[in-house]
Amino acid sequence: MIGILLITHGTLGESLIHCASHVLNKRPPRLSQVGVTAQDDPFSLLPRARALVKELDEGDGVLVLSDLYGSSPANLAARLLAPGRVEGVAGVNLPMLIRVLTYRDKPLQTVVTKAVSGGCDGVVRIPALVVNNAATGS
Amino acid sequence: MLQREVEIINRLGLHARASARLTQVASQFKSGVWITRNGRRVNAKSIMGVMMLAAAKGSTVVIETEGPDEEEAMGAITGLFATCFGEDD
Repeated sequence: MIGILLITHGTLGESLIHCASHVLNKRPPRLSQVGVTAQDDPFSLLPRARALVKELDEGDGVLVLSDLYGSSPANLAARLLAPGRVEGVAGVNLPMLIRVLTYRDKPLQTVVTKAVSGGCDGVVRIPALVVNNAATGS
Repeated sequence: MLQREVEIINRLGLHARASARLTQVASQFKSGVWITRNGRRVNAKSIMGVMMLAAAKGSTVVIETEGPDEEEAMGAITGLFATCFGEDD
C-alpha cells in the first residue's frame, strides 16, 4: 500500500482527508497531512514532514500531494522526494485524492499516473442539464 | 451478458457516497459491471467513472453485468438502487 502525504496551504489537506473519508465512508489508513500557514517558516516543517513520510512508508513508497506548484507547500514537498520511493504531484483536488486512494495498492509509478489523470479528469464543465435534473428531482 | 434499466429514486441521485457504495459492491464480483447513461458507459468499479455520470434523481441508467457471477452482481447492484444505496431517502 502506497502511503499518502498531503502538503497544502492551511487546512486544505485536512479538509480533503475529511471529504474523502466522508465519500468512502471510512478513514483511509496511511494518509496524513501537513498544513502550511502564513505564520510558518515552511522549511521548519521539514523534519516533521520527513518523519511523516518515514511513518507512512510500509515499503511500497509514498506519494506526496501538494496544491499549488511553485508555492511553499509544494517546495517543501519537493525536498522530500526520492525518485522511485517518494514521488510528488501538485494540483491536488478531491477527484485526485479519491482516485489515488482507489489505486494505492498498485506500484508507485502507476499511482503517480493515476493521480495526474484523476486530477485532470475531475475538472469538468458542468452541463446545465445536470443542474436542471437536480432541481426537478428535489 | 445481463442488461437492465433502473431508475434512480433516491433524493440525492448517484452522488459521491452512493457512487462509492456502488463501486465497493461492484468490485466484490468477478464479473464486469458497467453503467450507461445518455450514451456514456462507465466501469461501475471505478468511483470517478460513476461520478462522471452525474446521474440525478429521476434519471435512468442501464446496468450491464458479464461474467461468471453476473446474476449475483446484477441482483446486488439493482438492489442498491432499489434501497436508495442504504440512505434514508
